[in-house]
Amino acid sequence: MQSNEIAALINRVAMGDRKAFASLYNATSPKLFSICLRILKDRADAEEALQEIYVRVWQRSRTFAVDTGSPLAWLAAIARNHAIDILRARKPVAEDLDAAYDLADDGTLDPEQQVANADEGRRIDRCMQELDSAHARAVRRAYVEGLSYLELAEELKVPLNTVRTWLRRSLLKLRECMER
Amino acid sequence: MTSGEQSQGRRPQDEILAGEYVLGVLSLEARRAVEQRIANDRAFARIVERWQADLASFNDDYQDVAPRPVVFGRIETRLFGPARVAAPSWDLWNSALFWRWFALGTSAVAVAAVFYASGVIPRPQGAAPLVAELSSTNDQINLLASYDAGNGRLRIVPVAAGGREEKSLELWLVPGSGDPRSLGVFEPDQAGELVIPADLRRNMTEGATLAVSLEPFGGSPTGLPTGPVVASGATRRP
Repeated sequence: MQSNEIAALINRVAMGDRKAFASLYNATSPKLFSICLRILKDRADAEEALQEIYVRVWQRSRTFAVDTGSPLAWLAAIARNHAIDILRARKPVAEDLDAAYDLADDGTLDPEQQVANADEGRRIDRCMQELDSAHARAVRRAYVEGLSYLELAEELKVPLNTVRTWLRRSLLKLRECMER
Repeated sequence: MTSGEQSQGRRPQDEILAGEYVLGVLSLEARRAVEQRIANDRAFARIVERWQADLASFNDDYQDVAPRPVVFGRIETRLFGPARVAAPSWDLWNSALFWRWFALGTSAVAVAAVFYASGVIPRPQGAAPLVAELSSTNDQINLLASYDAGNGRLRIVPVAAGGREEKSLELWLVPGSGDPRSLGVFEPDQAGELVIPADLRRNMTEGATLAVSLEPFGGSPTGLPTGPVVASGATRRP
């Protein structure tokens, strides 16, 4: 289904249209279920999560605005956020929010610069290639599987602080590259 | 309101924090804290949105997997309650009928538009609100729309068609078994609000069914709906 058709469905759902809700579910649930499965790695948990996700989709449909970007990205964000919350609640990770940002380069960034261009996807792919390939893979795996810093550190067999530092550097490099 | 505090959204630390949030590497506590910030700091929220858009192409890694068919039924039950037998929907705001009325109202054709010279709803500035009664030819409900130019608010209250001195709309709480209990009569000048009797409030729970019936002026003379029932539906958490 085309992105604009999905956006139209979400807007109809916002008006309480249950048929549109069913169509939206049919069109998008395989993707969102895949997100739940990949992050939660348990079918029953994934089904449970999917229910909650579509309840939220129904409830939040009024907040969806076409100009905020791709409707699939909007749906995927709802799904990933919920699945990651469940995962973190299941396996709490001790980690403080303000763990030192010990980054050497403090270059200024411009968040005002406008977003969500059509070629966003390709641009991120190009920028990912500029990262150290091991770092790029870890960034992508963290996203796709919802890995915590601790899990990343265990998988990569490096100290937690090391992982944190180079993942943060990777984020900064990505941002700088995307703005070029 | 852009305070100095909020303009910190320009710092690389915020770029990193937003990126970490979207990647998903943070702890639950840290995620809640970030969400708090998203809710209160528009500049920061934009940084998060940008990461979300930028990283969305990673979603290609999720290959479609169809959930079991039973899942959708559960979602519907959670949202709309157990499947009902062709009951008319209470969802007035969403009904085709409502929008037809609304279209009629805005087209200013076939609409009985009544502009009250004196303020039906008192306003501090003294200017009278605009009031329109949106009706169609053969329905039992009209919508009384009143517009307050002072604050830009438009209120729509359902009223019985065919002369408000002849009929009233009454709201009912319908228990799983037993007789419906009256929750009150809609008064056109009360902005659609009903104060639920204190002894019935504990029954106003999720899943309780509400219904509206058309009754003689002032409400049902018998204490039970005399009908017709013009709308009904189960309550849910929005």
